[in-house]
Amino acid sequence: MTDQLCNYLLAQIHSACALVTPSLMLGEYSPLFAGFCLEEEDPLTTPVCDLVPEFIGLEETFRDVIKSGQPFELPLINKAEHSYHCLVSPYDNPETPLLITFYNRTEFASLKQEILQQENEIRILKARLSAQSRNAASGLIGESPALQKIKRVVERLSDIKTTAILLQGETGTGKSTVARVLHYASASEKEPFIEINCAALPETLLESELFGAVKGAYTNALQDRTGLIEAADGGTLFLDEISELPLALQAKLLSFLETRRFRPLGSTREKSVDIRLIAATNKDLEKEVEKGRFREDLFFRLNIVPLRLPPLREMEEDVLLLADHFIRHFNIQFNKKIKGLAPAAKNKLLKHSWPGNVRELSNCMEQAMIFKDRGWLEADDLTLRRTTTETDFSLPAAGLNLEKLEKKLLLDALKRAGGNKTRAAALLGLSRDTIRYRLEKYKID
Amino acid sequence: MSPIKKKICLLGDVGVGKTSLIRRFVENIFDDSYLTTIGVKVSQKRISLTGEKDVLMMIWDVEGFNKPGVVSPNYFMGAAGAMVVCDLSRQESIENLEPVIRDFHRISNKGKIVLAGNKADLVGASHPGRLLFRETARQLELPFFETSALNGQNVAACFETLGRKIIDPS
Repeated sequence: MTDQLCNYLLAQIHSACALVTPSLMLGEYSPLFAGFCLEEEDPLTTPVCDLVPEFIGLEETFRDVIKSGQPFELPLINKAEHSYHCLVSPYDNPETPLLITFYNRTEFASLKQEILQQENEIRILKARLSAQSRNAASGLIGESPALQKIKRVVERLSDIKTTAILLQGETGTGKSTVARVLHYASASEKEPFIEINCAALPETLLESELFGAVKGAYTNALQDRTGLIEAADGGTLFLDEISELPLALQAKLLSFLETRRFRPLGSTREKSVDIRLIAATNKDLEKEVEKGRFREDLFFRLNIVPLRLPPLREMEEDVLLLADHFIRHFNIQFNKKIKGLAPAAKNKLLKHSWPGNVRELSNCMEQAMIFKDRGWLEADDLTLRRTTTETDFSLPAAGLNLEKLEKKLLLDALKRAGGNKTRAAALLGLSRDTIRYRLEKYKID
Repeated sequence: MSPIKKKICLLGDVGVGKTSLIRRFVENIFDDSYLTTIGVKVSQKRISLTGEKDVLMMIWDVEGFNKPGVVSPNYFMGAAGAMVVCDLSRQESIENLEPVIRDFHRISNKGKIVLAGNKADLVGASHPGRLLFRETARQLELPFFETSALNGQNVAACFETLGRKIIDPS
């Protein structure tokens, strides 16, 4: 009756117990204990440390419990949708000196799970972000000579914090990415990286945004406002589209770059900060200087270390490495299982001229992966912008100088092919002999 | 013939993919939703090693080491070996390999160890995580595998190597 009641109570709380002999064989056990045993083993003839998966290898430990009288426990063992706390304790009976109990702790485990799930998710995300910052240089993906050159310069510049850096390149070439790489390659995670697009704000707002303002400096300036230069103290200020900075502000920025001191709008007090300034533009700043739209002195101040980012069309097969990177990225973001690019898709990407550069490639891959869940991306999955081809070309209204154009095309092709005449010929759809003839014609060495 | 039963533990930082490696090895499935493991779960897998008796591996999926000392050392008692796992995309999980191994060896000083640098599918060939993992494994003089529970890369090889080391310590 007592055994029956005991078994009933244990079953009610979904728990189990067993008594074990000195030779570690099962003595008595409650019905639910059988659920903890390996199905293929006989509970009556198999030692308990061969019978219960969780006890494999624990013979010595069990003997120690009998010998020392100290219990042994295994907290939170998950089995068939339940969680148990296993306690192996001495039992005051020479024939069965060991008592094994599996207490049901499912409710406790569920609560712990709820708390830790969120905590761990945050921890993992933070660690991944931090790793991304530390591994910023690996954000520059590609093996082409053009990119290797950029990587070398970035490595050199990462330790030099005081000199302003000017990034030039077509739109979408990754100027913002390179600015971040430069910042994270040398800065600790706590040092700020502040980015502002000079074309995005009207002139009136830009000054207070950059330099800050004191209360009453202008209508609605109801309190002191910290500018981005001050916010970037100790870190990096990245001024994108610097060519759009109004001339008046260019003078103020130049003064700041030379003295590292500035005066917030409406203030009589100067402030001093220690920042690295990175500026970027997709325009030819020298031409902007010639046209009087950009101050020459500021240009020289910024142009100490110019870095030209190559367009994607000059990065040869890097386009495929970048595409693979975006596939990995969007697989995680969209929870997809895309394996990669099919050969025809690779061909399509390699043939495209990428006027929008890496940004265009990223958009192209994102679009393709929105509509596909798994397998390989085929050529038809990739939608590319229609770009001007040789047959679309029409004579400008003012006419052109054919020889000059031909010479320029030859020089461009040679440059893109890294001086390799065979590859340059292929880019222009010419044979090697034809290109040689034309190069001689224009005295191009 | 009944197999030799051996206990092995999968240890490592939280979220490195220990549960996913076991599911890939035991059930050949992968699910990328993340559910943190609380306590332990024991799975079984019988493996045949050439020229050896079959081994029935009792694979302990031990909850992640989110901070030192939180995982019960009793989980390591009686283990013949451990696979210590890190996430190649998370540097701190690689840096934590050594303390985890130390905790394990404190309880099971003869336990064999292999290292698994998981989530190899997430990192490029020259990712700093790969280089740090290889360097760490060389310094610790332990066998190591770059694994992916997602595509199965090196998963079976990693478990089988541990199985061999347990059966034939030489």
